[in-house]
Amino acid sequence: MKTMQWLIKREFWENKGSFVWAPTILAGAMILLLFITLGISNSVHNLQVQYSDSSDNVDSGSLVTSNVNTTTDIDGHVVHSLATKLAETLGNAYMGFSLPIFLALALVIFFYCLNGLYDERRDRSILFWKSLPVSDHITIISKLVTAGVIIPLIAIGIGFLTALLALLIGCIALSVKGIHIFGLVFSAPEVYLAPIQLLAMVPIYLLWALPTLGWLMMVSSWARSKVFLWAVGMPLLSALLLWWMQKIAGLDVSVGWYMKHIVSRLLLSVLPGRWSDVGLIDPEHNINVHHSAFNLADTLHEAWMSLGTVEMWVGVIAGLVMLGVAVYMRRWREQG
Amino acid sequence: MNATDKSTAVTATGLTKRYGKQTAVDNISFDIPLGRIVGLIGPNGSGKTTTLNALLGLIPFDGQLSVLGFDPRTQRDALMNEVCFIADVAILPRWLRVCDAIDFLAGVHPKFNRAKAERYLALTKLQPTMKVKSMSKGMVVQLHLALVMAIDARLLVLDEPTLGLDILYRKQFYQNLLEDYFDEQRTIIITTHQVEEIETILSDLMFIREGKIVLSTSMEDFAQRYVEVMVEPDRLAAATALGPIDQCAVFGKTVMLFDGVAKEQLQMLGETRNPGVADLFVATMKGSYV
Repeated sequence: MKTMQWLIKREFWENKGSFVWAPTILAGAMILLLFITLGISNSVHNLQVQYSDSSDNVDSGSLVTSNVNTTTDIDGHVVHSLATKLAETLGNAYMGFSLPIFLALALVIFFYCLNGLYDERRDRSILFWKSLPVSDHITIISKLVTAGVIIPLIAIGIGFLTALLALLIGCIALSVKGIHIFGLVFSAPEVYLAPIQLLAMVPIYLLWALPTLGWLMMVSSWARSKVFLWAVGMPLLSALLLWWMQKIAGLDVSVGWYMKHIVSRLLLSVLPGRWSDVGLIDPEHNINVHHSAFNLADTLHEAWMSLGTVEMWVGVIAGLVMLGVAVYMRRWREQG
Repeated sequence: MNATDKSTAVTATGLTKRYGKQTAVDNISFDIPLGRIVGLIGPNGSGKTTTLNALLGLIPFDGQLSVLGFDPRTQRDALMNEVCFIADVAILPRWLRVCDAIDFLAGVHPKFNRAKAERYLALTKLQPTMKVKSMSKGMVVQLHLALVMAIDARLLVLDEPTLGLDILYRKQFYQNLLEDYFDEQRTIIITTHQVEEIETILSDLMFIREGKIVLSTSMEDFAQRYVEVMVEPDRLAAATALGPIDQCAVFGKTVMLFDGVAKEQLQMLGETRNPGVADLFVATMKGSYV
């Protein structure tokens, strides 16, 4: 356990730039952009623009439908009712503001896994690490935990703080216009539930991402050079070959199925929320999701539902097998 | 078995390593007792590093190998508690800081002595916040050596540890090793090309050529066995009859190297002296690159 802790720290030392500084700088840039957008929209005085800018995932239609319930006889009532709805949606969806951070860290995870085992061979520092009483499987597990748990936790931390800051800025901007929703927004439990809901998705993320994490680490432990080309090129080439065989030999294979269930699982499963693509989730439930505004509780529900799918577990097994190959390669492959 | 385990650091029997058709290490057998400093010497590509890699469990191989009683193939994790190695210079990762390196080793290595490492580092110009990438080659080796010497390992393997260092660093390296680290409980195996420099610190010598051990001797035996004679021209025939293992012409005289011929006998042939390891190395390895 103590060794694991130091190994993870070690990964952190090596990758501080991409784990912490990159998302922090991105968050800073996003907040800056928010300020600029608010500055512009302030002069336009258009509530709608401001509203959809500060939260990506909100279906702006829901704002329009919400007007049905409002009483229009007194101006003050409209504003008040609109404010309630606005506060509710903001509270539900403010985390969507941080989507770029989550996507950026998915990219970080991708390249971290792809380079981790390759770089230590290239600069021969693997000989230093292997001179210590740290086994190959502990090392690989530490890299897996870093990619599948630690980076997602960092993403959630930075993502939450950024979204919260954006929400605060949005509320201030609204109050400048005379719409005071501070109390409504910050007393909504959704605001505080959101990071916890995201944390509850981390286990699903790890399990779902396993085939990609395993694939990238396997290629990383095995390729002599050009890891990216191998990792991305092989699945795509195999799909191309399949497509060609289908065209030429009239083989009865579905390239679309192959792309979705093999290629994309090997390469894209590090993207958050891809499990909702499994397609085995109750379609009626899906419709419900689309009807209401974006809702993290539904996303979380969907995430854990994916544990009931075969695709999830086939991926987990495939991922573990590939990680096993990576351990074997690190143990036995010739150095230098 | 246990008795030999206690007194031998390494036992190799029929150790063989093939790369495809190429045989890098060809069925070698040797014993290295505890408390020795062994120089494994051979030309480039002779199988030195392959042998060391086999000892350290870094590569698969054929034959039997016992290192401190462990099989490096199946018991590598346990073995690495007792063994330490410097495989090459500049293999410390570039992003590593001195203080992080110490923290990390203190965290993962049960036999690492932090105070000892800090004491060694205090004797150098290395600062705790320095990163490997900002160090000179000599400093990287100093750091690596400080880390390794602070580990209470029973076997230390050094593969070309001083490659690319200037003579000041090299001298200091071996001096530290001998004065501060080595004792009769430890065993050190060194490979190097700078034979002359380690000659004085070695207790045993192993020459390896084309995957075979061509000479294995202790330094005491070495001094007894080998004699170099500057043969007087009129004694040439008599000298040749004694079967020199090597000869060359210097200033019109013939210099011959003998193995295991009585010194008194040789003194009659001409001026004698004790050859260096380098002389013997050159004599033994003649034709290696042909």
